[in-house]
Amino acid sequence: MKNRETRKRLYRYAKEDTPDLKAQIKASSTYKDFMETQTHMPQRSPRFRWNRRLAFGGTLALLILLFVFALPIFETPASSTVYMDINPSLRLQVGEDDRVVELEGVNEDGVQFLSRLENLHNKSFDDVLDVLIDEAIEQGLLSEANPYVMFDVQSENEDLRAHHLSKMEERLPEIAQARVPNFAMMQGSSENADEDELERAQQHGISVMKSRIIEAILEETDEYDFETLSEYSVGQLRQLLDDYDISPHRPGPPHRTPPSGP
Amino acid sequence: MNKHKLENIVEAFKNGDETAFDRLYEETKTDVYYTILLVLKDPSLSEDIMQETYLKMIENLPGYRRKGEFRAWIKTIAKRLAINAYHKRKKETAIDADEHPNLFESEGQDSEKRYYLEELMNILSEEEQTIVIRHAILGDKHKDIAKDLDKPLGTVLWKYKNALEKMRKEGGGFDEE
Repeated sequence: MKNRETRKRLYRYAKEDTPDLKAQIKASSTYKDFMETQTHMPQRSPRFRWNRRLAFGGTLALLILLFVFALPIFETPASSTVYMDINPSLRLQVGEDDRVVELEGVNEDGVQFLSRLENLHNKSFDDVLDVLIDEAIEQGLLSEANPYVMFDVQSENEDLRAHHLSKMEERLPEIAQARVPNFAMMQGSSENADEDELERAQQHGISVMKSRIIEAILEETDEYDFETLSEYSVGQLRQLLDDYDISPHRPGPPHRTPPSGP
Repeated sequence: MNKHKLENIVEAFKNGDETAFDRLYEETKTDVYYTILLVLKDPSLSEDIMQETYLKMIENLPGYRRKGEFRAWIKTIAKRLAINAYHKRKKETAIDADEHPNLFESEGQDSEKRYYLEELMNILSEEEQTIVIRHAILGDKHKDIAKDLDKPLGTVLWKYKNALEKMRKEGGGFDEE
């Protein structure tokens, strides 16, 4: 029996074994007083509620306007950090003008991969994605046998993050699908990585996104170890996530963006 | 149950729907009970504090505004009351530091499930119990557990995995239903 099943059974037993105190609570004066008050409490009219919402909305709009006009005075250039794992693992810093201001390899393969390319600094995000994907296909790192790219975008600016995320989701299939028809993307998670996670990922020469997937798999099975899985491709790890039916909404493992196009 | 559905039940209860309380209790009882049990390590006292938690929740419900955070809110109430009870009890009685607490030991309850839970928890150390209960029953993230226990994430993940393995290997009958 796997860990997940043990956990599920333990949770079920614990739930069934939790004391039922509903009757005692309902017999208390606190409960009775509450029910008495709530059933006789006059409800606010919808008009009152709408007036309150409008007032709140107006104040919020005013604050936003003030913020927007005051912002340029204190503004520092916003940017997103884009992580891409083919493997190689890469990190791109993309400004709000969609220019790539920084580009580096997260692991040894990433450093080597970039060393063969022209200088991509200050080029447009679209152009850089073109070059990276083309080169990955050229080198056979991205192919029908290994059609996955894992990525994540982090930014303090939520709009910018959403913008760059949608750019990745639109642009990557456009570039890759002509040459890799079964191309698929998977959004990973590198959010709030702590020192332990960074150190572990660095030790094994992989990204935090990949390290989190491995940890999620190891939580479900002891058939593998971290060392072995760190050598697996993104596609192979994706297969294991499916095999062990690991929920995409749990912390750590990524969720898959289904392949688009034909 | 997702946060949105739970909030609808809370709203229904706030509007005086009696059946909503039953649903609210069923949805949150395990979180509340085990949050308290982890602090007090005393099933009998935990039941008292559990009742106190729900009464406190009802008292404060008219002022509850944190949409989507009900589960966290009631767990906070439970933890606070449990810590108060712990300090109160500490003043009254000296606690045997060497005692290995059995979180599932309770007089008058001899269900089959309890038997298994007691058996299983006898196998685990106190730290393993904490990790297993927090992750498997309360749904806390390994990362948060590691932070609270001041241990590296990898250690907590490893201990959790080992604890479940131990439970399967040494907990007679847990594998078969």
